[in-house]
Amino acid sequence: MQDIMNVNPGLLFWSVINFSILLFILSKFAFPAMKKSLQSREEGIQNAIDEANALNEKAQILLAESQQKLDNTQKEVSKILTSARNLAEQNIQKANEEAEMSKQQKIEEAKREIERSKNDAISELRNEVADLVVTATEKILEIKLDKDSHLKLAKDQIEKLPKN
Amino acid sequence: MSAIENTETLKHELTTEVDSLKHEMEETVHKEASPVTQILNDLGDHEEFSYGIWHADILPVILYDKGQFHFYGNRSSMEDSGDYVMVHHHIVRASNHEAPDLNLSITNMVAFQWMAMILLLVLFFTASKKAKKSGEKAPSGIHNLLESIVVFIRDDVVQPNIAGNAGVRLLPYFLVLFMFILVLNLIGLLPGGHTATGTIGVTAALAITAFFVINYTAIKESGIKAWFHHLLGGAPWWLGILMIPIEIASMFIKPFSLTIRLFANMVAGHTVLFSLMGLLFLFQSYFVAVPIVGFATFINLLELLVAFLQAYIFTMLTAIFVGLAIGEHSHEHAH
Repeated sequence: MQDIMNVNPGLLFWSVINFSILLFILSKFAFPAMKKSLQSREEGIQNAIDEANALNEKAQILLAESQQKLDNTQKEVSKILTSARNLAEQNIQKANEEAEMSKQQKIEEAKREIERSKNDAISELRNEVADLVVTATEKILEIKLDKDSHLKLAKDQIEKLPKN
Repeated sequence: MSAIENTETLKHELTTEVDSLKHEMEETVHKEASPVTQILNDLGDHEEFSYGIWHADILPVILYDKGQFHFYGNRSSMEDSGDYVMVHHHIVRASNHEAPDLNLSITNMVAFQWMAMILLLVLFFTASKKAKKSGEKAPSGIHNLLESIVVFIRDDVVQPNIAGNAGVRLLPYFLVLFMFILVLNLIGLLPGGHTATGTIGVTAALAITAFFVINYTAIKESGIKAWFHHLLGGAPWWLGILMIPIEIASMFIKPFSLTIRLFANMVAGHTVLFSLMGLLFLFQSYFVAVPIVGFATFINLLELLVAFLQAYIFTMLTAIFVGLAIGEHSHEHAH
């Protein structure tokens, strides 16, 4: 037991020497290269992350911009569409109104024409009837009367007839 | 007259016989050492290189005695010189059987430290060579393994405890400390290997190094004035009569606790293992052998855990002590 619990000064001395030598050699000749490689890699990774972040930010901005543009375009399109639709509606209404108007005009015209034709036909028919009446009367009476006085007579008679 | 003379001669002869028998018995007892002495012997340090049952008298003996150094190539050449002899595994003066003033011999544990050093140098120089080649590329193999340890020590041990530039400068120290203890522990777990960290001399050496690192860093970082101010432990000056002795004691207790913790942990596991193995020879029965082997395997695996754990704890505590020694200064306003 004594052996284990004793501090051997020689062992202590050599342990300090060994540890110091190991520390010196490793930190002088082995660690710098490892440190450099580790640092450069860590820097590289950090740079890559930073770069990716920056790119991401840029992409976000671009995305927002294009979204804005898209929105604007959509608004414009809908505006154009609305105005076109309004215009078309107006046009249709106008055309409808015009068509209505011209239709009314045509109808009026036709009515007037019909009235005139009717009147013409009526007066012609009257003349014809008067002539026929005169002729028929002449024939019946076989008396040659003064054509004008009789005609006047007949016409007066006809005038007395109801208009239609 | 003749009868009396005869009796005297007989008495004398008998006494000599008894003496020689006594001596022989002592020798026998010493030769056929009990398992306990054998175990403690194996755990301790020797002036000859031994691995398992293989012993080699190849380690130089260096003695400082009566104001001068004595160098011998090995133990037998020392004994041949006639100045010193081995008695009960100890080097003593041939003249008066007293120990020399200072024994600086290369012992078995020093040789085991050299093995660890060679292993570490090979590992780290291989990694360093690979690091030079790989540059910014991902590390591989030994480089990768060691680099993960480096990053672990840096990020989880040093940086949380020691802020700023001091942490950067001390990283090599903590890294070597961790690796050295770890490799010594692991070599001790190899069949036949000896655990250098299981001797107080080695752990004391590491703790004394830690003591100097702790105080040197504290003085360098915070100044000698702050270092003296620490002795008050943040208490008002009139408590100095109480605080200064306590703080000075704590300065030495910290490395002492490091010494004992590592030493005891490494010795305890080995002692349990040796005891279990001893049971095999005591009982010499298969009924005992099977469970004993199971237990021994379990203890061995536990020791593997302890090897890593104690290396980590020693390093971590040293880092914490350094951090405390530096940091108390800046925390002073909070007290």
